[in-house]
Amino acid sequence: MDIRLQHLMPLPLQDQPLAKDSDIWEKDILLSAGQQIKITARSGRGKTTLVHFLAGLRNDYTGSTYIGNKNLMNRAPEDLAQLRREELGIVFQDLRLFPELTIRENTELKKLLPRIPISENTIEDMAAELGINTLLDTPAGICSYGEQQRGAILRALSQPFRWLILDEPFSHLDETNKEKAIGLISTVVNQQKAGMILLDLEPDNHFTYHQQFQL
Amino acid sequence: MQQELKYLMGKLLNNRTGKWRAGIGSIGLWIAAVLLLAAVQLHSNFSYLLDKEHVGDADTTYLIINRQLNNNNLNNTTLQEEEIEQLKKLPEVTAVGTVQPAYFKAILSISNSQFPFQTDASFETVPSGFIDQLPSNWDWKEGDEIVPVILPSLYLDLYNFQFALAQQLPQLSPEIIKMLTFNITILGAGQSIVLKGRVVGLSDRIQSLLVPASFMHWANQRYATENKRKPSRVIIKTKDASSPQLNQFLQKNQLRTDQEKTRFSQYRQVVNWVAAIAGFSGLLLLAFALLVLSLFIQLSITGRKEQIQLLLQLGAGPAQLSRFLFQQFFPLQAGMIILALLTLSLLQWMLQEMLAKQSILLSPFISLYTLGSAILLLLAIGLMNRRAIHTTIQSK
Repeated sequence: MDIRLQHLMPLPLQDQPLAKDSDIWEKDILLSAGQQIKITARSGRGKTTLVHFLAGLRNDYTGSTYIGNKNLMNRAPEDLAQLRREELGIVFQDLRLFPELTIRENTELKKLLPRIPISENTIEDMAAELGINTLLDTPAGICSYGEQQRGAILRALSQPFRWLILDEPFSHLDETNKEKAIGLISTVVNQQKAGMILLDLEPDNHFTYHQQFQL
Repeated sequence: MQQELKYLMGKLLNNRTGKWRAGIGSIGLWIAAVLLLAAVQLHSNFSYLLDKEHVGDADTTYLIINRQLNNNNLNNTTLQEEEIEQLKKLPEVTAVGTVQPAYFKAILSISNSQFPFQTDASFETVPSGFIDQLPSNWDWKEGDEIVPVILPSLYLDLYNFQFALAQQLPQLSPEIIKMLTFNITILGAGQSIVLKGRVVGLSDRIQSLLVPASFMHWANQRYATENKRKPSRVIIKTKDASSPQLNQFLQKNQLRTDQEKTRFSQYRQVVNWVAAIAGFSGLLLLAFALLVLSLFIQLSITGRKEQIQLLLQLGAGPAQLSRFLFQQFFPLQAGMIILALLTLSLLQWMLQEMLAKQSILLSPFISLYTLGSAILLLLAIGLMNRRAIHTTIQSK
């Protein structure tokens, strides 16, 4: 399932001259299925905006966004919901965990929505890999930001996906935990034969990227 | 939806704050529903008390109406055609019948040595529909041996409990009086005739000696001593003798009737005002209740907007989520409406018990209007929920 961005331009950035230098805004971009993509941008260049466009959460843009053969703008609400449930795994920059639910419950909720069971053992193993297995039954709201970040990664990996989108996913992780998370993400992405888009502030070599863009 | 998912979404939406809100909101909804349904029930109760139609024909009153007699209109008390027509047009008046007087002189007598009796009498006739206990043999044609007569119960009571005691005469039961045959001597136009008469019924309604219309017509034609005059009395049938309109009409036209039966009319005007004020208060309550209701629904659903939005972002289907949210909120709200209905049923029963002690009869059950309003309220709440859920899910 390819992603195609055709002359995409967020309305809030339309009048900003810097947006003209972007590799993505107002360009014709093809992200082929299974590719690992890195998008680097400084603050305020629209990383989170792009994630929201890809998830169909916002549509204040000109141009078109295709996931598969379908223009996101033309997708019905139920169709968009299915896309989010079964095709896209997302780690939001602001994490978007339910603070009143435990890490396990947050993960289960996401896992249950597509009705495709992923075993409890798999989740426990992934949590152990991320170093948060002891926090699984702790309400997300009282975990540290770094722990919540790993909780959000766990949640995104606990569902089937064709594309994994990560918005500054390691910003609050130390080197050790970052390495662990990168290792787990690589494994799961490969297992699922999925594509991955990593958006971050700085260039990196965490993954073997097929394409890299400056936003 | 799977049980685990239901549990998690339930936990998400019914957290401690949510439960607190739902608790407060439910009490608000219950109060609002009680106020709203009470307004409807109060209106029903007022209508029930003021509108006598529910009692049926038993409450129909018959009034004999004649002109107020004073020194200026002696021997000039006939009723004008227009007045009778206007009476017929009054909404409270369901029927008007002319009381036809006799224009001949009559003497009733019994030539019995044990019970000698003679009295001057005058007859009247009214249309059969106005007679309270119409006898089956209430008819007369020329050549019939016996003229049927209806006697006012009051006359028999006067005889039995006053005249008979004072004159040491035997008391007469209704059965005995109906067995007696008496002579009716009719005098007029220079002629006379003696006929046989018998009491065939007693009337509580009309205080006059009544004969069949056919007999009156026959006798008036033959023995009338004067030209036919217009009638001086009419009898009306009304479901509401205390109607202020009817009484205003009578006063305006200098007519009078049985004051006892119309006395309540002076209070009616005041009661009507009280009912109008109560109705207005009911409307205010209704508006207030609807306001609380819409706030409650807003509080229930839009108060959880963040969670709903996040669920959608994670891929919850809008239709699935709508159904789930509706099932989360509506049963509790419906329960509150049913509770309000039960509360009101209890209040109505208590009110009925209390008023019954003061001889004010009220239904012990809530009215169908109240029940219908509760059903409408449930539908309205259902729609308001759907709308609020839809708006929350659509908003980004």
